[in-house]
Amino acid sequence: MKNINKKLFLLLILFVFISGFLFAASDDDEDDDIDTYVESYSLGDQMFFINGGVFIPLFFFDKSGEVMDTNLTLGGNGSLCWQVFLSNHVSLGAELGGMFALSPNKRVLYMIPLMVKATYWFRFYPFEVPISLGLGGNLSILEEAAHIDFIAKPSIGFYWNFNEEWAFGANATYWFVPQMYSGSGKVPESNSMFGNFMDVSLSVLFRF
Amino acid sequence: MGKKILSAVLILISISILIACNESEIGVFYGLAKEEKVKNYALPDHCTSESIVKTGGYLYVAASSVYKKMAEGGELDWHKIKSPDGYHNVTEMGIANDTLFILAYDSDEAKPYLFSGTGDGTWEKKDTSTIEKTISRMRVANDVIFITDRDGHLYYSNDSGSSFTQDTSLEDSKLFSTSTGNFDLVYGGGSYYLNAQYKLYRGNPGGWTEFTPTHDGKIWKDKEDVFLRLYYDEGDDRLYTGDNSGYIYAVDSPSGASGTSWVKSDSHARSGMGLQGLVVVRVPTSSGSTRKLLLAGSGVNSGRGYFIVDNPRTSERKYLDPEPPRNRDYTTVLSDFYDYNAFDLSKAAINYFFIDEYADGTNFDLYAMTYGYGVWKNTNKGGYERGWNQE
Repeated sequence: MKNINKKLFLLLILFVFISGFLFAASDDDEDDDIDTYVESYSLGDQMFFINGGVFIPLFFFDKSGEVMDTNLTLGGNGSLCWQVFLSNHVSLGAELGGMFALSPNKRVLYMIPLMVKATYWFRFYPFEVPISLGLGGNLSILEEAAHIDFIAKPSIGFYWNFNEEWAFGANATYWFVPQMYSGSGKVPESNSMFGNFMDVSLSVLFRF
Repeated sequence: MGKKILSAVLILISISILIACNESEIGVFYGLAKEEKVKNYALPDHCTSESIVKTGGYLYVAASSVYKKMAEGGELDWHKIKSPDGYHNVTEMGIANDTLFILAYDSDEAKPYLFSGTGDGTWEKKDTSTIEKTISRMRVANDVIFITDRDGHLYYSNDSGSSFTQDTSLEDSKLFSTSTGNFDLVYGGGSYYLNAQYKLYRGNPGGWTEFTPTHDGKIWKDKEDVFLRLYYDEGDDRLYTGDNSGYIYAVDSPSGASGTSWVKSDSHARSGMGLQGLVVVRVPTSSGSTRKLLLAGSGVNSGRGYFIVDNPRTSERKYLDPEPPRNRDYTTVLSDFYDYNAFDLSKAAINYFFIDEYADGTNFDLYAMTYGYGVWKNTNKGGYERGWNQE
């Protein structure tokens, strides 16, 4: 339980810090000389991301609010993402990901999320800070047990533009997976749990 | 055309995924949250055992060898203790006067012999010369050691195995005609209770009277049915037994003069499913806890069953209504037991339940002894259909 509280606390600090940084940066944007402003992207510009990194299990909680340890080790995750710009600051696309982590008895949990993902881009040339929200479905597999659930993945990234086409960066992403059972099948309703995880990944971005 | 092909592929993938979702009976995240690390590598995963005892702060299991670990969740995990020199295949075990008693076979496995020990690997062979025939079974209750021979004669010792006396007070001086008859013996409420396969007895060593359940003056079971395990519930002063047709028999205040009003449940199993595991457990409720009877049954052709029955004190004949699982096939219920490492308690026939009560008076661990699938422990106080881990 202590570990979970510590993780939550660190997560909260991280978001507060980054949010403050971004709001400050947004204020600075207003001071920019509008005459020199040039839009970086326009409708139809596309991007492709390859991400890979560490998967960090946080905690589960059930419908009564009881928090439980995930009993998972640190794992690995990766994803492929394609997005298209709708405007200079907003992009929309899809992401297919995957992760693995081990249980205490070396059983492997796999999760495969497939999401629609929207991103808002803050720019501080040559850096960019995307804030994203992905919503979709997630397939969880643990040996013979499998289940498809809703998933929400808010994330924040930090990218350095190497040139017009390539950028390199990192993302921190929260995974919220409500795994609900109706009780009408073999699994009783009491097995419903809310999964909370995060990942930290390195990313390569290609624009075309 | 390309879009159609892509759509078809996506639909097929979706269908295959949805089918895959129906193969488990436990939630993915729930299973992870309840998983405990297997720390023990000493107790064989495929052992058969029905003997588990607690003494001196330790639990002992007889599973070919004797295994020992700290009771009440202590850190020292299962480890094997030395068998008597030249003997092996420990089959039965009991405690009398804080001393372990085991039956162990000699090297050619022809005969079992009685040994006593203190759990440190040193054993003393007991003199059982008064038992003329080959020893067959053993039970220890209230510090009295009971032994049957292969012809079904009963012997007892109330001096820690120093001497044995043949019990001739049984109706025909025999429990059963062969060494393979069902035999069980428990003590509670000031009396001993004895299962002699087709009959039950109560009384004391050397002074038994028949105690077979009756109803309206007639024996209350089918002629061919045999009694299996006995269980005395001290909390309710109630004696339970089950037969090989899935019926439960219970009697309140069994040691008293009025203790003959047996009640019999409807069958809790399909034909041929014998009920062997019987134990009353505390099940937490919103207002504290309630006591319920936990049953396990198995049969050669009838699969495995496991269920909890409600309200063990009601005197109506049909008081033993199955609680979970409602509307479910008994044979599938055991798969709810949480399993890992490819061992599945749903395949196991549970022959005995044992409760390790903690000194704090509130916590306890429940152990299930099986045929060929090792020893399992349940620490999930909220429900006994899950939370099982193999020891």
